[in-house]
Amino acid sequence: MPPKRSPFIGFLQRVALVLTAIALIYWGYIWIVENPQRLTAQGRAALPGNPVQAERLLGRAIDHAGGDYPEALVLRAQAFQLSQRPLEALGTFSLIKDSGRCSVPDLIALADVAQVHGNSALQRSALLAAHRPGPGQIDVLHRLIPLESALLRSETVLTLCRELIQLDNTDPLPWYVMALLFKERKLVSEGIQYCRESLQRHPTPDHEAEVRGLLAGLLIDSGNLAEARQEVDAALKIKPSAMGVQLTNVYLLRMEGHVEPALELVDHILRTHNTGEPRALMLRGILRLDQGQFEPAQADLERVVEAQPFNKEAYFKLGQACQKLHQPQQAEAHFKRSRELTESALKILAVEDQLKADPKNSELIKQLSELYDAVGRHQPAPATNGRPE
Amino acid sequence: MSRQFNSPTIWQRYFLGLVLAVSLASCHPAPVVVERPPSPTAPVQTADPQPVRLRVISAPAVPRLARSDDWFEDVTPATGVDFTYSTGRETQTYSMVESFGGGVALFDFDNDGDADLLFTGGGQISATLEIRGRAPGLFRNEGNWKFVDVTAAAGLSQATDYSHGITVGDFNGDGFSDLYFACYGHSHLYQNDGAGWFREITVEANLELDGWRTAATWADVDRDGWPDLYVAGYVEWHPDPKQFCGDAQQHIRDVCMPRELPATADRLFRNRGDGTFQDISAQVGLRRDGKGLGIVAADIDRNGWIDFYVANDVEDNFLYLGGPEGKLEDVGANRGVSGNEYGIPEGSMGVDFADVNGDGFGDLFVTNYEQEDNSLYRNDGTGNFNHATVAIGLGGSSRPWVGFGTGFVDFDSDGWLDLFVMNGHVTYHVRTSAFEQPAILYRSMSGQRLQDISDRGGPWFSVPHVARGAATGDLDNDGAPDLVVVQQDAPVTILRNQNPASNWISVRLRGTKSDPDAIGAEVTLVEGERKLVRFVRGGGSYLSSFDARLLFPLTGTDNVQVKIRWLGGAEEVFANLSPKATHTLIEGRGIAVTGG
Repeated sequence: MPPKRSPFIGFLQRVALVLTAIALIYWGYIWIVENPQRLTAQGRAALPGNPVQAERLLGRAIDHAGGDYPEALVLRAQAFQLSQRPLEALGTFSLIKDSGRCSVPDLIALADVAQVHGNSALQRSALLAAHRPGPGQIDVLHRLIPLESALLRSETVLTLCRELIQLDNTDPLPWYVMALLFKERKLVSEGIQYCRESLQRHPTPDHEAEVRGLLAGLLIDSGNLAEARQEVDAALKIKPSAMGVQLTNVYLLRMEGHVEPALELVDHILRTHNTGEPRALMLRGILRLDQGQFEPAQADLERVVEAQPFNKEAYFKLGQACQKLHQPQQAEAHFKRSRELTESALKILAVEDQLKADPKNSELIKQLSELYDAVGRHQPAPATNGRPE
Repeated sequence: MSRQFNSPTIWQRYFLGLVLAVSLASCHPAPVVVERPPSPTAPVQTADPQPVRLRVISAPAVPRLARSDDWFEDVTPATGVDFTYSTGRETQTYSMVESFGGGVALFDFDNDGDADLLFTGGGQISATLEIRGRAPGLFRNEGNWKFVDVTAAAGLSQATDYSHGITVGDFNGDGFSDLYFACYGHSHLYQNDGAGWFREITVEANLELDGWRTAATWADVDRDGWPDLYVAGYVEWHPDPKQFCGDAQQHIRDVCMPRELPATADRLFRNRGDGTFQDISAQVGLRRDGKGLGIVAADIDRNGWIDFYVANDVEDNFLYLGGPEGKLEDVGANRGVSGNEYGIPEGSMGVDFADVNGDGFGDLFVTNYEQEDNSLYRNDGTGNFNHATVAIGLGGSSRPWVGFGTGFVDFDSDGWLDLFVMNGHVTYHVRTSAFEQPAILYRSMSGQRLQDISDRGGPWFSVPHVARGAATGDLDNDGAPDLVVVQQDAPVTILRNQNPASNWISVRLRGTKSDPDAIGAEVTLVEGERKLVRFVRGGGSYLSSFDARLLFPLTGTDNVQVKIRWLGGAEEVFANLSPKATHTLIEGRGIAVTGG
């Protein structure tokens, strides 16, 4: 006869069994329901429609993964951004210890969301993380190049453009971007060549109009007004409403000696676009000065300096208008302001030249920063963790 | 087939960039680089993905054949003039001084009635950066397009310092033209003894002046009848074997640029009338900045006092207006002549002062560096100037080139002043345009537009050169102005004007109260209803001196008068001047019109 079990032991056994069952159920729940991957998948699915819920799901996924879960962190950053919480988005993204474990498409998606919401810091961080050897780099570069351009990091942009050309030599974009950069550097012949390289790669019609507009500007800079005219006409044929090209056309008409048609056209542009666009007003002010219409010229140019208080050219032309209107004190004040801005701009060139020889000279960097402030110019972003630099 | 992009926003974003770029190009083409430079922490790198060295120039190396309608014929080989301005570049020291070239003077040193030629010599630079001068070349005009080298016979065979500019003037009133050489090192004054000999008198004239001097001109600033001397200074530069300029990244060495170098202040010397001079630069208020390369003297504001317009490299050009108080006040910025259309200084070199549009007021013209327009400043008659480069059709046309010698001259004898511009780069390893560049010839279309007719200039205009100084004058006394050009390390060129002047007169002024060369006088030819205004100016062009005689084409009317407004304002009329001849008009011998 087997020994009789103590009822207490039996109770304990039942408790243990229940506890084991509870534990199994709990771990099963954790395994099945609170699984980080599952939560991440759920969070990813919820992102477009319900970013708040997605953020919670992804937070749970990160917690259950012990904090270091790059995929969920990327998605959670996106969720925060979609929930209008940019700082949390940036903070979450900064928790990623190894961005190499994030997928490039996720990073691109995060960058796109950040761009839509104007969070350029997050956008840039995501794109720099996505910028690595492997697939998807063309998409990354298409996003990174404009971003770096906006940050005035021209050397980085050139490097990225060259990289994009290596990856896809049929792409017109990098050539166009390089043409813009070289125009800014006054390297006109290179700019012209790059525009033509871009055109050879068959951009869409709208984009072709932009390239031809840029090419026209470069040809004007080079003194080739005849070819500039051809490019402007071609660009306007493709996209008659392109305001940038229209303004180039105004300028070109003036250069060609057609002042009245130029004035009519810029009047038309200002009426059509119903805008106080400073570039158009500047051109009209100049044309009105050409025509001896000093009062309207003065009015246009006053609007320009109001909108662009660091526009040294506008101050100078305004000074001339005042001079013609026998307002010597106002003229002198505008000339003085123009001179101050010009002198600062020239000092910038000199200091930049000095910095080329001594790039780490803190005194020069400080001086340059002050000069940039004096002319109201944005300062280029410092070289940080951008791989190309 | 069109190429589609993954993200249209990319192009949208770049469209904004394009708009910005176009607006900058539209509103202020020259200073685009000022607006958005590369990162200050990253040196500019210009390597291409497919390295290509573009050359804007595509001119053929061989001159085209001459045509019957060419304006000029290169007659140099037949003239006997064989002279080359030496830069010293052959030792490849990349010394800054070798970039700037030399000038030419057309003047009648022996008073035999024709224009002789004097060229500055430049110099040599040793491998150890020792800079030495080279003698000038003086060529006597024998007539019929023959010249004889009289450098040694005239006492000029001894080298001056490294020379750039030349100015001619009768500083001592003896009736013979004297010479002042503007040099790197020490500049030199030579007195013409009237017997064909030039004697250096720099020290005894108290004109010892060192530093880097480029252009100079005579003009009577204080109206005492003695021409004073204005000497432009460039920059404080000294040879330094350790100095590297150019592209450090690509290890491409080149000559240095002036932007970061301190200016050498211009100087003004008062002629005491006893053969000596006194430095009055501070007394008259000359600025100490400015990097002068070109200068022209005239009564620009018609107040009866000498004014100076000084073309400065990468800094504001100066317009010094003179007056009875003895000061020279720079009003360039407020009068609209200090820089480009937007008041921004440019790299200015050559200058001229002439009535371009026939309104009787003198306009100013200056040649500039590449990617800048040459600037025409139209005098509105109130003392202010309008930037008229675009209006007259010069917009864009000079942007590929680096402009030097220039002048408004009526080459086709139609009464309207045409324009020449000599070009050539200063740096050897340039990216934006070629070292050798074409000279440009513009025809005046009734003073309203200038039309580029370089293709009609003749074979010499069909090939590029590295030109610097240039001056015009009537070398064969046929009434049509000819052209002489100095080039870098290449023989000088003499271009005979092939446009016939059917009827003309030539006048040379002789001051009695004014300075002997009458600089600052305004001369108006009145022929029936037609009036042509010309100015006796000092300096002009680049490092050069024009023939002092003023040429006027005639339409055939017998009733020709020349009205002269001497410096100071006194006016006289000279009538009954025979055509096809040069007349020396002496102050006080005409019919007085008003008192000065």
